Amino acid sequence: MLIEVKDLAVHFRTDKGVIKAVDGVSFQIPHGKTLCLVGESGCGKSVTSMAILGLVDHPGEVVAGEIEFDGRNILECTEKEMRKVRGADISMIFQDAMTSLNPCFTVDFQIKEVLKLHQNLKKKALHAKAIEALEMVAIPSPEKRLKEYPFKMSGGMRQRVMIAVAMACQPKLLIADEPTTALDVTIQAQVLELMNQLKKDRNTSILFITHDLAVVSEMADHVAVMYTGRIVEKADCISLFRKPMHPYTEGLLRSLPSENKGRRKSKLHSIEGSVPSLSALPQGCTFWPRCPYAEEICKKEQPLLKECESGHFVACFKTEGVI
Amino acid sequence: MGKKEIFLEFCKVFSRNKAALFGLGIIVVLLLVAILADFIAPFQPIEQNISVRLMPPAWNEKGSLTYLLGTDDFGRDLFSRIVYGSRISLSIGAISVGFSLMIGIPLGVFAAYFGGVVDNILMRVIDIMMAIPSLLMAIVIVTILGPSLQNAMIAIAIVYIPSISRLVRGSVLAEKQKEYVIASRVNGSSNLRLIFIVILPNCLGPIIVQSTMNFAVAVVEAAGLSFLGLGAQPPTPEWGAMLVDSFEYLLKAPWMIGFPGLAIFLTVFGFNLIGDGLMDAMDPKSKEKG
Repeated sequence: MLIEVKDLAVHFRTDKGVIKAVDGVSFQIPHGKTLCLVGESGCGKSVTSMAILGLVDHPGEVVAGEIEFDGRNILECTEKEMRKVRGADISMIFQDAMTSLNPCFTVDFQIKEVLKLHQNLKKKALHAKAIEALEMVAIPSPEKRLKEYPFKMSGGMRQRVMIAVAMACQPKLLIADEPTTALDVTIQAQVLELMNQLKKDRNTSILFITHDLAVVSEMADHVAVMYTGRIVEKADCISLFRKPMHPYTEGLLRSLPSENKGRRKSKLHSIEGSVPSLSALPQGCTFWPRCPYAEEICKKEQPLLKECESGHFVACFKTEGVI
Repeated sequence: MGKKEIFLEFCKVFSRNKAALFGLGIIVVLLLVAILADFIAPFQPIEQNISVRLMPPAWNEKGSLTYLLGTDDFGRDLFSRIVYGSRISLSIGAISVGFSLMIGIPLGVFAAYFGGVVDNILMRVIDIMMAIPSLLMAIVIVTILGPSLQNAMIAIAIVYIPSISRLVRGSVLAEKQKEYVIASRVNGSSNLRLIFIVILPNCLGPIIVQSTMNFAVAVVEAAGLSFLGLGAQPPTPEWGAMLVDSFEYLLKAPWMIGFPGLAIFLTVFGFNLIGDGLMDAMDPKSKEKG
């Protein structure tokens, strides 16, 4: 295992009370594999990734759990030690390629920044590495591109530069926070392919955060579905898509538009209701108000994540056979 | 696109604004005058010649070409005094603006970046400073420190600190949210690196514009303080101080008040025009036009 997150809990202390953005999340990612973290906006996906990087800002706080990365618990690292981990061992790419490169500096500066911070290189070697990083993400004429400012580049190109920056130090874990949401579909496919290629070549593990199930099927080895700060279902990609067990996952998959099923007039399925506010979660299973199978017990008790089939974890009373 | 091309692009946008170019022209001439004062001025600024007291400018029938803009009550050449005065006025502007930036930028940056208690304390102090009218505050500071040109500059600089740090705080707050800052954090940058290398260069635009405007107001305020006797002391050829000297002779020798006043006006006008031009040129949207 490269990274093992155990019972991670991140709480935000606000005027309205404590908000449990991440509430007991556990997952593992082996070397060279991709875990997709799926869920609606505000379910704690991004907070989880920030916690892994040790970048949860005030008023947020990691209150419990362990994150074992490469054999050590990085939650216990000091800020100085974490700075050495960030960028070198774990790095991240973001949703909005338009704003995630510094508009004031050339590509050259931004790639060399991360290299300088983590590797002691001479000027020539540094330059060679920067060129290599751009070649790796298939940017044509890297020498020329290095001297350019981000505003001269298209969205797809910037996303490539960002991946180049993130991969420059050959990190063991790459966190990708909805990296393709802001791109159009053809560019999206290129970027995903690029990431899969890098994963293969470098044996990099990827934590891929998204709400796009089509992307999940493209990328994932394993999938974890999050709802209101908890993982409700966790399985390898194929069995999750073949046989979703949690009502929420089932709803998500049914909400996908499909080309051959049903007639043209059939309405797109949607899950009833909306995501509850994290400051006012319902008692019991947080999904029951929207769940078609909800029973009395769901309103009182919280189901725990249990292994229903080998490698397939679900937190639901229905699959447990209680209801 | 390299740095040079960006600069050229900037020059292109700036020069499209004719008023700003005019302002730049005024300031360049003023700078040259200040640098070359020793060669331009026919007399020393404090050289007195009682025999030619209150002589009118050259184009007046009583005037003489030797004293181009006339003389003052001590027979000092007004032209030479104004020429040397440009040195003083420009250094007042530069020093007080520079000093206010030196203090104001770190204050604003730290308040915005660290937020919370730091922000609260710093900004409440700034609020208090802002509640006092600027000239009144400058007068109070000079009164405490004692009247001199140097103290007037310090006073003006202190008066500017609140507006500069507010401005910086605002821009840093806006930039801080952007993903490139988080990206740089994720790459392992330290706080200081984030503040001064990653964020601050993105906030420079409004700071430069505001400083240019401040430069103009600093010249006026210094003149005002000198006028009240709290700034430059006689016989320093400071423009504001020259206005005071001319007061008693307002009817007898109006040129004594007219020319220093004109000099102040042109300087301020020039800097304001440049400020406007910079504001347009630094606004990314303006590049799309034409």
